[in-house]
Amino acid sequence: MAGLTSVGVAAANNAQIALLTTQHNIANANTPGFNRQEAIQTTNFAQGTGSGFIGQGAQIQTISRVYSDFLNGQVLSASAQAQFSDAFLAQVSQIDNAFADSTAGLSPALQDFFSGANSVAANPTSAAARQSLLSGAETLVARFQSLSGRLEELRNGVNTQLQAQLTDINSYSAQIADLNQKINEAQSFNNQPPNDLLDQRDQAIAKLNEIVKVSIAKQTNGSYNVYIGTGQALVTGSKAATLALRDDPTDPSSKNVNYAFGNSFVPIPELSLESGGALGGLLSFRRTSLETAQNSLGRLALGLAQSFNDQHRLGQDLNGALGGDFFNIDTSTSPLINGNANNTGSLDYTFNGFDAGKLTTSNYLISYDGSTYSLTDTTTNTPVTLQTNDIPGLKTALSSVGINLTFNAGITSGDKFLILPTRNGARDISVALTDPSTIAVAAPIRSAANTANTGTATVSPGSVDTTNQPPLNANLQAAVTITFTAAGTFDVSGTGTGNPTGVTYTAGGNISYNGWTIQINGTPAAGDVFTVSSNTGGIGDNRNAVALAALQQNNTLANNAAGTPTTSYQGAYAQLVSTIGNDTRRTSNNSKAQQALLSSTTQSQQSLSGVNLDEEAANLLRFQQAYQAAAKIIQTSSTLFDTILNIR
Amino acid sequence: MRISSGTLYELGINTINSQLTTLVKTQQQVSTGRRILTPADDPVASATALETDNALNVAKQQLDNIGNARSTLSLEESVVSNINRVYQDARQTIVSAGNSGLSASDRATLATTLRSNYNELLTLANSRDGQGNYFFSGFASSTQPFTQTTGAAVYAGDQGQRKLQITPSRQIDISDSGQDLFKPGVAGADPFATIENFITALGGNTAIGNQVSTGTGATNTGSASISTAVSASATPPTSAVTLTYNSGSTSFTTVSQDPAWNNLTIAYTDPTTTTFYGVSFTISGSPSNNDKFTINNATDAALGGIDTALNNALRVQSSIGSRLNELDSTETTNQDTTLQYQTRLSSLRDVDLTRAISDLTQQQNSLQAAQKSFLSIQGLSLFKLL
Repeated sequence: MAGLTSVGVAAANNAQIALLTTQHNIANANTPGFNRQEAIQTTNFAQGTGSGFIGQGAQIQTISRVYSDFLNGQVLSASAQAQFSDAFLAQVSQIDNAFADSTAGLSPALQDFFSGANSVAANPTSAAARQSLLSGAETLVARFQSLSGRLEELRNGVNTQLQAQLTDINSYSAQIADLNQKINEAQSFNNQPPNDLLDQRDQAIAKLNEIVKVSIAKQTNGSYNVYIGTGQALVTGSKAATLALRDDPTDPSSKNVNYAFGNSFVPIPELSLESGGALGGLLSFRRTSLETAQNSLGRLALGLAQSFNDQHRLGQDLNGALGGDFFNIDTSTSPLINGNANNTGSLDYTFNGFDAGKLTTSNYLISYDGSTYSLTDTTTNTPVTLQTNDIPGLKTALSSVGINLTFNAGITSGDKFLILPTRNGARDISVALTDPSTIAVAAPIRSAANTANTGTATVSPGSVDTTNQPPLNANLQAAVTITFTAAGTFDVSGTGTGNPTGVTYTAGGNISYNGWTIQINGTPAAGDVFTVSSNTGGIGDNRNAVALAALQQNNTLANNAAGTPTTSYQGAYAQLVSTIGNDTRRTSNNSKAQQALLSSTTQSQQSLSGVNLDEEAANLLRFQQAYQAAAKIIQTSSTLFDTILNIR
Repeated sequence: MRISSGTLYELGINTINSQLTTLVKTQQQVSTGRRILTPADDPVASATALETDNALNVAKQQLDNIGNARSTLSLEESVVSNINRVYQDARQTIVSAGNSGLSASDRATLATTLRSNYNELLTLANSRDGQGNYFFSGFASSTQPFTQTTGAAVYAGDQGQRKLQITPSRQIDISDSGQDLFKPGVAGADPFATIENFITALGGNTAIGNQVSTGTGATNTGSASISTAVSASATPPTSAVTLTYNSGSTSFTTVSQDPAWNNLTIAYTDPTTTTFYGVSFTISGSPSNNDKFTINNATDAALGGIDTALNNALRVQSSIGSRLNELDSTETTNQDTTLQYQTRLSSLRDVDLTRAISDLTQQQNSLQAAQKSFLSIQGLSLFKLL
């Protein structure tokens, strides 16, 4: 009977523990990271007798959490990828939106600017038309600068977000190290699993993993070691490393993730962090889409400014002066040349302008190891082959990508310099002209046929050559006379021509001297004279304005291997928009796929470990009934005892 | 499969959220009329749309250029047709001056008429467009092209022709230089010189019928010149006489339609004065072989000069006419191109409204269904029954 009571009491206790567990589950139904727990009940050792083994009731062996390492691992992996895509998408869709608007994008400003150029071509002397071209240029520059400012904000925003993320990472890793310690202590106390501490640690790891993808190594003492990137230890047992944000040694506008050991810092390779997590998404966005957008926009701005200037310099303004620069380029930051923070020397150079067609959207790293100079395209991460591994070779290689530099001195051994040719291009252009009369609308030369000519030949108005100019030929405006000595040959005289005689005449063929080209058509007679001279007073001339307006459709950028430009301004912009659009679309699709995967793995994991309130309600009833039954056992035992006592 | 209570909520909310996102996007498409809201919606189409938009803009710009070219050319054409009229007027006056019965005062009246023709011609040659630019001074559009000096109008412009881009590959001339239209300084073709000379002839005491006009060959390389003495009894040739110098025989020989003046020989020493049919003329200086001089009656010479100028103006006028024609046909082509670009742009960018609105209704229904079913599932709980 004593056995009966003790079995009954134990059963009541068991039911109470099970009820407590159920109540714990219900209370934590909405606690993030909570895994439902269950009381594991086993039978006690039976009492062996001659009549057989008599059951001795049940005991609660342990309270365990319903948890699967495998499912949890899947959730972690899916979550890191989903966070990566989400972080990337949040950034890139801002660029996408900035370029989307048909009224606020670059396109309308570009078109207005060239409408201005066309009006000037139609009315070369109209002050209103000239002013409209200048205003169009101001608007275009402002549009470039606002887009560039938007991208710069994003770059700064990435730095700010990285700082916040590192603070979180440091906090979570400290938490994990702390929990490692506590779990260790709790387990050694009664050798039972500290379920809620385990949940908390898993939750801290899940949170950390959302920021940066982690891998976990379980230790025999129950501690977790946490690694990021390609095996960089973040938590080892009860010790947590500290991460810190530092300026990139060659590009201070971008900040890098470093290990901090007191006051010394070791950078973590950026690519290794891009394997997952929101931090990886940000870094990847900065390295790919943002870099492409800034450089492409900068290349477009610089290419436009440079090629428009080049054509403008071939013209003559309303005052009869040769054209100057239409756009200014701030050459202190375009190209931007950053010395590595660890350099011992500096770069002594003179910048001689861009070559619009040759400019690329890449950045370049110059390094010198004491014997050879080398140049690396850091955007595609490929070395640029130098014809000779010295300063002249470097100069040639740089000019082949549109950057004309003269090095005034060598480079100190071990130094590195990062050239960002186009990063700030869209910010650094401005309109140089303020006076509408200084727009070079006319060509500086004109041709004429002598009035006494007897032949039927006519001369074309003449054009200024664009190859090898500017700078303009010093003798461009010198008076040149072409005298036909016979119907088929002519003599040329004038400064700079070398005064050739007996030149063969081809009807309609190009006759080029001093940087200009004319064509003579028809049949000249002996003694006929044609002249080319300075276009003095030629303010109604619109040849240069027509050439400027034609730049809207001409291919001026992105030379192919043969040195022919392959795209127009608008084409380059469309390409940029398409690249960003594609990046956004791809990331958006990835994000949707990763979210679906995350949702499905979370469902599987929750299906196992999550709390179902209906189930808990049923358990509540079940264990309540078990408790009532146990109480009945005790009551029965008491009744039996009373029966014995009542025997008289 | 076991479903945790949290999953139930999450699934419900997720479905509603994603339905709402789709619905809002369709709504935006309908309200903006655009299929592509951001380049990410269709990167290829948005890039193509940008390029098409640019091509459309260029085509429209060239339509504007065509309009500008047409207005400039039409104005110029009206000026040139007025110039033709002045030539005709001058021609009539010159013909009537040939009447032998005219008195000195009659000739003076005619001279006054011609002078007014001359001035009108000068005014037309110096015409300006709406912006105050001279039509006929070439590139130097603010320089007055013709200035009256003693005996002739001097051209101060150049031979430039302004052009405008009317198709990607065609630039059209929108001006003609005064040099091309008036041939100033070209012997026998300069209308100002022709009229001026005839006015001078009218001013003398001799009837026009007795006056001769001389000319110097344009290709002469020698320094010889010719002059005539006016005589009331002279009988000038009825058509032009050309004197050609032969350095071998050091003599001039004549060629003319007027048989009386044909094939005469003048032995030359510097100077030589010869008189034929009462016309006395002097050649002086050193002529080169093949140098030519002409002698003609004054009326015929002046008519010839005016006709050359008239033909020249007609040539320019017809060239303007053909350029205007080209503008018309190019405009039609450009309008077609513009329309095609617009159609293309619309198909790339614009939303199909019927479809979008039907999608909107469908998505609204799905969203409502998701909301209702979520609510009803949330209502199920054992705890309600305990």
